Amino acid sequence: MAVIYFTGHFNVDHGYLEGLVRGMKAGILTQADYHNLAQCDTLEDMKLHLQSTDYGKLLSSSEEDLSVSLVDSKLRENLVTEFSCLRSNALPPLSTFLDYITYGYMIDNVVMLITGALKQRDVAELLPRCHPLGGFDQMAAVGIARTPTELYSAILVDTPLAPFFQDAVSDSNLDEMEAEILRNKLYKAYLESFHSFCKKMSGATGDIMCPVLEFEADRRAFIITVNSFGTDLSGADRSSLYPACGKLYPDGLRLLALAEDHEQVKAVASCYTDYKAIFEDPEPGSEFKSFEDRFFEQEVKLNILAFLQQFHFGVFYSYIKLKEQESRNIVWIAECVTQRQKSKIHNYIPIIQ
Amino acid sequence: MVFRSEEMCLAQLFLQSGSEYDCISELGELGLVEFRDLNPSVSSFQRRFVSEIKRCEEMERILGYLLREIQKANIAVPEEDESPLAPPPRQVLEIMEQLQRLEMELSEVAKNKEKLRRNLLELTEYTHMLKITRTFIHSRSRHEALGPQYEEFPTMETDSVSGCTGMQRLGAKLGFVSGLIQRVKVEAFERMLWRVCKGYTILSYAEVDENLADLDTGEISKSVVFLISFWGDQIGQKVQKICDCYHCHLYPHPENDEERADVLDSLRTRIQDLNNVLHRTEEYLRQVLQKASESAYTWVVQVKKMKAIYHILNLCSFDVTNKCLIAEVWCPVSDLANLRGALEEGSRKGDATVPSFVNRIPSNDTPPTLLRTNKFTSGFQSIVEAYGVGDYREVSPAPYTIITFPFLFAVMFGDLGHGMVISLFALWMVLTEKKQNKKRSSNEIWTTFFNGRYIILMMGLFSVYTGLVYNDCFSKSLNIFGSGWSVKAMFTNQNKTLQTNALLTLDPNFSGVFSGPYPFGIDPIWNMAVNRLSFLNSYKMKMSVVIGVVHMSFGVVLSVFNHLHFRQKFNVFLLFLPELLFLLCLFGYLVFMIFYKWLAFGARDSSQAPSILIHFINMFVMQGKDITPLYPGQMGLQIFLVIIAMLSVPVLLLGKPLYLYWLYRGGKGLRRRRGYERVRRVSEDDNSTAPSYEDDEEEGVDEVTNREFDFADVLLHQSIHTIEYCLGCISNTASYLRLWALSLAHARKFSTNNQFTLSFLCSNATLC
Repeated sequence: MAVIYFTGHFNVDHGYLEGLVRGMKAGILTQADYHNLAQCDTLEDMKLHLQSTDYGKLLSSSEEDLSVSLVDSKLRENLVTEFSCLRSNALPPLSTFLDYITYGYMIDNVVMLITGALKQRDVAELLPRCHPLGGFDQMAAVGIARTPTELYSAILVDTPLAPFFQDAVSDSNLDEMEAEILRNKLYKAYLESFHSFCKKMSGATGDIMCPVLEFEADRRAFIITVNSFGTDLSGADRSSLYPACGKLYPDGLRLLALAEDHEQVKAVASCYTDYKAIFEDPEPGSEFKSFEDRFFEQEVKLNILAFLQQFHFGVFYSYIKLKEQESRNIVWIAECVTQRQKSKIHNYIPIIQ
Repeated sequence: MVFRSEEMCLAQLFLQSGSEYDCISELGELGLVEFRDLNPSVSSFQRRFVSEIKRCEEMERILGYLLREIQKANIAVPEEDESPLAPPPRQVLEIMEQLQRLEMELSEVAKNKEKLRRNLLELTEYTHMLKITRTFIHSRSRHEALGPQYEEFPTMETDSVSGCTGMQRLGAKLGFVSGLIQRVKVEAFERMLWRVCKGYTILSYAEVDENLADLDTGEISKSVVFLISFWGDQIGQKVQKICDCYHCHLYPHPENDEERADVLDSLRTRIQDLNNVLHRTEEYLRQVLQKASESAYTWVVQVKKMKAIYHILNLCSFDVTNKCLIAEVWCPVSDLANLRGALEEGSRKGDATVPSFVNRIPSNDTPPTLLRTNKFTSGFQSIVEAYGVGDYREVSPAPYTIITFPFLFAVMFGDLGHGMVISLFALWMVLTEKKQNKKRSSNEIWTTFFNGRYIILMMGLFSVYTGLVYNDCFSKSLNIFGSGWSVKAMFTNQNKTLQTNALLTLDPNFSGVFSGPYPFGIDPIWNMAVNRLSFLNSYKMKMSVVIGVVHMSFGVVLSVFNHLHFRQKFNVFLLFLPELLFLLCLFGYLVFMIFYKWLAFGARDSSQAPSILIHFINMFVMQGKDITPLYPGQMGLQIFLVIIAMLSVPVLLLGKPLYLYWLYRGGKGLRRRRGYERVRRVSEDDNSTAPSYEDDEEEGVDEVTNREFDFADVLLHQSIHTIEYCLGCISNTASYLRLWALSLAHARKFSTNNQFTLSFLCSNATLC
């Protein structure tokens, strides 16, 4: 009954935005576009080509000379404009859902500001480097805090990040390692909360979003494990950072906590069909791809699937993620073009074949 | 408007380098030809004239900036009637330079202005802050003055004082931070201040009465002046950071009242000065923009044309010697002379030593369809194009649409008054079209109406005509010629019947009652009749079917012209004939019956008039011996017609595929290729100079395509066509009944409307 109610009334509140986001998805660059972009010799050429896509005059209206960082910031600006258009037109519960998307960026921003402050960087210098999707008022004050507790009680208690601090409060001094741990703890709480939020949503939203978030959780678990090799992070510490909403939970995570080298991680991954391919050795003859890239590829695949169904919020999340991947691709190509690394130019991740 | 689309030919243009720009510019002004892309394999940024296009884009960017500034300053950009020609290449640099100079000047002035404005805002904020913080200090000092009256807490007082002095001795002193913050952020700001400094601060704030513009965004919003007093440097740093984080505008806090007054004084004079300077800057900016706005329109058009020319030049290929550009164009044969003239003109302008010239080249590609339109026919053409564009040299349906479309509309909309309203509206649009065209309204609904103004005019005029036929004017009848009916003859001396009966039946059999048909349209007396609706329904229904069948047959007949023109005589027999037979034997016969009934049955024997519907149904089931025939031999004829119609279906379905199959298997065909071969032989002679790079290859391709014949494919297409046609005939005939239905709806809607408004007015009048 709830499902019928939800789908029946979906279009009343969210139909416009869903249509909008599907229209915007149609503007995502295709394989042919990437092919053309990869042929460019200068950034000017890329600008010329991007003009014929949905980006239009995005790059040509700037007066400064083109640089990769300018391209990056323009693309990001574009994404933020689109997102804020969606957000300002959203009604609950879609607005909550969209807010959830921004929390991830907020966590990244907080951690970046903390590490920046530890390195005695000026806040004014750090702020422009924060992702604008995760911007909040109290951002600039993050540097004041010395311990996570202080960070929480003084600054972040008013922000939507506050509920994620439940496990993260500690009195140890913030250093770089601690900041990284804080990030992962926050992310764990965030993903779990987002996951349960999506699960509660009736209709297709849960069906679509849960696999995506589960994948995200597992990816974090893998990456935490791989990155912790060679550091003094113990297995038990590690396991407290793993988000407990993925497919790996609980057995896979326990095995991951015990893993001590890459081979063991691979052995864990081979138990799961979804992740087996990611850690497999590349076939001889094919190009080498890092497992991060393969995770990205898998993510793109999952996000594309979201567009196969109607009447759910997954399309919004997927669109933002796909667009982000697209920005990464364009920036990668632009980097290759400026540094004349033509051989690596094809290492982008195609979105729509 | 022409019967067929224009005859086209493929032509090669040899544009001498040096004059190619002028030539293309000339051609562009004429709009005669369609260019073909000769380097499809080259990506858009590797073509020859990319740098020129980039320059044009740069100019467009500057122009965009310029126009935005002009719009911001509320200066109108005058538009000229004639669009300027594309500038010659040497003038381009001049324009470019001019634009760049303007941009620099503008951006400098704008930057200055921005700086001044910011300065001014800061000073205003500072003044506000000073004025308001004075009240804070004063209220506090008053508070202190009250202090000694509280005799109960003298120790506390001294304690805190001694505490202060103690801290002061340690190097900490009372610090003040004052500034402005946006109204919305105050609560969060205060909270965070409290949390971080653990209450070791005192915050007092008050709202500024005026709305101040934000320094960075220029948004007008409410601001709040605050004053934070705190102890110690450590907390001071934190306070500073928090202020930064909330984007507060901080200003130095004066030590005492005298300093405050001094600062306020100096601020006042500086604000005045700034206002002066700002005013002058704005004036200057306006002057610059005013000057720029005069030529802005010309520049915009010129740059656009220039960019278009370079895009076209990018489609051309170079010949081996690099001496000239080769372009391939589709051009109407009748315009070849104009094309030559334009090229000559272009070469003359470009001062080329060798003139550019045109060469016709043979081609097997299907040329593009060109239908010339004018402002009257373009609307109708676009209606046709909404359904599809015809093939090259196919019969164009647009000329007939000019009559049929408005007429079919009018059949549904028949009302003299409403038609008049529509035609007057359209007439107004037509008469003021020049003025409206200039306005370039961006309103989508309005432009739809405006572009269809001639269609609307025709629809209005036709509605007037059909309105006259229906004798409807705002759903009331006009009695112009005097009704042909009179009740007088029936009741000369029986006045009693007349008085006692509300309804009377006029019997046309009674001599004198019906004196002859109304000269034009429907007799106005029907407007009063109770059976008006059933009479009009029967009339309009039959009329719709008649119009529909005639319309459809006309369309089928038009296809003959296509078959004959494309030398496909077999299509006349295998497609057209069965189609026409099918339509006429079934629905043509229906039309015949309608007319027969109208002619054969008069007023006297109208009670014996049969139902056509029953007869038509009986025709299909081949029964009906039990009802009286309309005319002798009806059964035989009907069976004959049905059999013919049924026989034409298999002919339509199988005729063409089988014939083509037979041709393919070696039958002696109707030579279609002859025409092409002849053309080629002729043109090859005078084209000996033209590069024959594709000729051989194309010949081969042609051969193959002619040889290949997929029977299944043809059969499939033909069966689809057959099903579509036969079902179409039936469903379209039914669909034409919509003419009647909508006409009925229109008339009924307005007559009930009339009734309601009239009765409403009457009741109002009685109430008054």
